[in-house]
Amino acid sequence: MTVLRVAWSPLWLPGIALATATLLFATEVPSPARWINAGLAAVGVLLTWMVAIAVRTRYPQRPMATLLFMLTALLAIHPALGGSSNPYLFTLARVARMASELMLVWVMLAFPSGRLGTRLDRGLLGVMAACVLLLWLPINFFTPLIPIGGPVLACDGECPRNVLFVSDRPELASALVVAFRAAAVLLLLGAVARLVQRLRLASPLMRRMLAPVLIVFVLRMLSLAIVVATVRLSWLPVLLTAAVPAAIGWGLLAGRLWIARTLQELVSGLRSTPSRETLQPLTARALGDPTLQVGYWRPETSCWVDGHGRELRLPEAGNTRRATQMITGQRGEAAAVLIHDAALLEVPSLVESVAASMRVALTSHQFEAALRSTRREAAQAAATERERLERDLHDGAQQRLLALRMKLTVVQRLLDSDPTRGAQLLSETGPDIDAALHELRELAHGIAPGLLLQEGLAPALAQLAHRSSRPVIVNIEPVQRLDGAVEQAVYYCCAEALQNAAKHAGDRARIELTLRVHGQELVFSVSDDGPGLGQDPAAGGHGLFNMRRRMADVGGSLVIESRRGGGVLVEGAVSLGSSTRESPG
Amino acid sequence: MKPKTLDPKNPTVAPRGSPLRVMIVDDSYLIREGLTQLLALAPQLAVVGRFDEAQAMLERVANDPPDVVVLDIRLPPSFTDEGLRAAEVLRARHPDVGVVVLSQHGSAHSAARVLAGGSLGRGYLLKDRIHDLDHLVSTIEGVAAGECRIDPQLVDGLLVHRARPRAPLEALTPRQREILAVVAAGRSNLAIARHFGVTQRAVEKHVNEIFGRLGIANDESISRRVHATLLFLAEDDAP
Repeated sequence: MTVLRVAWSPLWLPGIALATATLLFATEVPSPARWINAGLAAVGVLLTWMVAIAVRTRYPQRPMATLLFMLTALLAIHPALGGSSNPYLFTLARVARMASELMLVWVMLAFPSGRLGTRLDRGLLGVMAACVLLLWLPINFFTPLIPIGGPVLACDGECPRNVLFVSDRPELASALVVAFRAAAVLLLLGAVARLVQRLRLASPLMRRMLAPVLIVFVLRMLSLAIVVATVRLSWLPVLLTAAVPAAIGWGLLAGRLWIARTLQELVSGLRSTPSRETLQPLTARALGDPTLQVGYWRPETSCWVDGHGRELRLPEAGNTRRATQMITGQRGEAAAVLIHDAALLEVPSLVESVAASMRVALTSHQFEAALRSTRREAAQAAATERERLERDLHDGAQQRLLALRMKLTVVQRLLDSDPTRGAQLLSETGPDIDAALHELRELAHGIAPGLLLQEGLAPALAQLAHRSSRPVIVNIEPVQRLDGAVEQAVYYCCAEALQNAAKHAGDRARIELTLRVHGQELVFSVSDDGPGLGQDPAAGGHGLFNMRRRMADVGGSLVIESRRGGGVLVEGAVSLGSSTRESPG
Repeated sequence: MKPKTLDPKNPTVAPRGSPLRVMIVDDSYLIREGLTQLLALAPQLAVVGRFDEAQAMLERVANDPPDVVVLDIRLPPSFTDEGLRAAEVLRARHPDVGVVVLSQHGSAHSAARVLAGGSLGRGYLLKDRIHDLDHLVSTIEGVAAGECRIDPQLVDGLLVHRARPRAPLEALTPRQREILAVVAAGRSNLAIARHFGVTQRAVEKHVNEIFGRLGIANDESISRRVHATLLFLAEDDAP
């Protein structure tokens, strides 16, 4: 249940009006026809009032409810005061009757939002108001009888005095009546035409909401024409006045049902996590807008693309198509849009609900894509690493051992024929084995440096700096042991950065390696004062990527700053909190 | 080409006529050096060129073709199958030049590729075995004589190291498997008969029986039957 959070004053209005009507009625001589008319009018007022409350509750932000409350009040004044013998109240009731006609047109043109959408609508209503003020009101100055039949009180010649009456000018009055009727017919036809036009251009949702209202409006216009022409069936317009709020209520209900079904269809479609290609037709079908498109931002080319990767142009302002941003990226930028018929925006909440449902699907798409590419990168990096190891083994130790094996065959053969040469070759095999061992040790070191495993980061980095091909200024604080993955990531990044510095910074560059604990973080940096990486994209491109990935894998961060002519600074940080190794014992 | 008869037990006997001219292609200096020292012990062979990649070798072969090129499979620039491609070029341009392919990791597929255009004058040697001078010299000489020589260790490996025994091979007797290994290594029926000390007729019977059980066509041409056998054995090794 929705809690009523409504200003109470408009709710009292029709109640007071009804009470007054009942009171006044009780003092009048009752007749069956008047009872029927009064009853119908009361039903109309009550219906309008209830719809007004429903709209205020459901759509508190829409001015529609206010319009409906105003209509309720105007509709209530007529039956309430129309039976009064007081000439002022009686005249007020008749004027209110005309004002309620105007209000009805306003409500219908402004349905469902309560705002008059176009200048045409506002113009139409303005001209109508002008007609009432300039044509209908002056009629009352020149005729003693108010020229509007009262359904509740037919008067039968015994109506109270018209307080607006100035002087009896029957010709002028009838001329004004003719002019008013002609203008009223034209304007009402215009209003009908406007509603038909809106119906034609409307989205499926709007069509469902508008159709009942339009039908009732047209029927009511016809009934008014019949009453004016025949002065009979005066209850028909009253009945149809009651049908207006009913139609509005029905239209809103039909719209809600349609939205519910649409969202249900969409959500059940999204449950099967459709691909980018199928998301668009799914949404288009659910929203009944076959031209709907889903656009995705592609940062590489700075353009919008559809599910198949084709470029997409967003509609410009004033177009009949609109783009609604559905999802935002990490920095708040638009990442996906819904390009749809502008008509859908007549119910902004629908587009918002659809966007919200799709956001879930799209976010999972984004995560999936990111995860896939991360996995691919990780797998690729691992494969590259394995290939490098295999290559190193093949080119290094393996060839050495094969060559050594061949040498032993030669030695074996020479033992008989040329022992001196054989002994010489044999003495060479010792250094050959040493070289093979050295290569294997280097390779193992490349996989995971022994010192790092045994003693931790600080000694291993000190050794790394010592072994660098260029002198390195070392500024290393002793740090506690961390998880193997964290230690290896930091070590790898420092090794890679030192290698880059040695390669790019030049012979006389000052290279510095630091490692320290800062708050809850371990911070390391490798800096040089060389020429910087400059515009050369190949300068450690793959290496930089691997460094970032390594740090990201252990939840750390890495910043690489290159200042033209001002050297390169590689700085990384990783939290100590979660990665401290349990000390044994 | 009629295969020359060889004495596999003693290849280092004095050469008849001029020594066989051999070129070595391997990107590793150590291997080139080791092979050269090793082959220097075999007077019937003479190393006439050493190269660290295939292109320079192909140019030299065009000017002064040797009898045999000993070729590593992995060569620059990509270290994948440059050696196999160079062997294909040699087959097209210099069909008379024998080729011995050296492989670090014995693979029936690469062996089958060496034999793809015909197995005569083609050899496939595992690098782990190149220190075996007798075997090395025998292979080079056999290939120079137009024979096909597949490293028996590769064939043994294919027969023994199978993840899952295949029904057709299970159906062979141990003796038949021994014979199949020699067939795959490129021996003729006559050579097999000598190897096992039986009559050529008995070998023919055995070979027909084996090929019948395996469901592959027995071809008189050694080249084609070696090829078929290798592919059959390699089927299970496919990744």
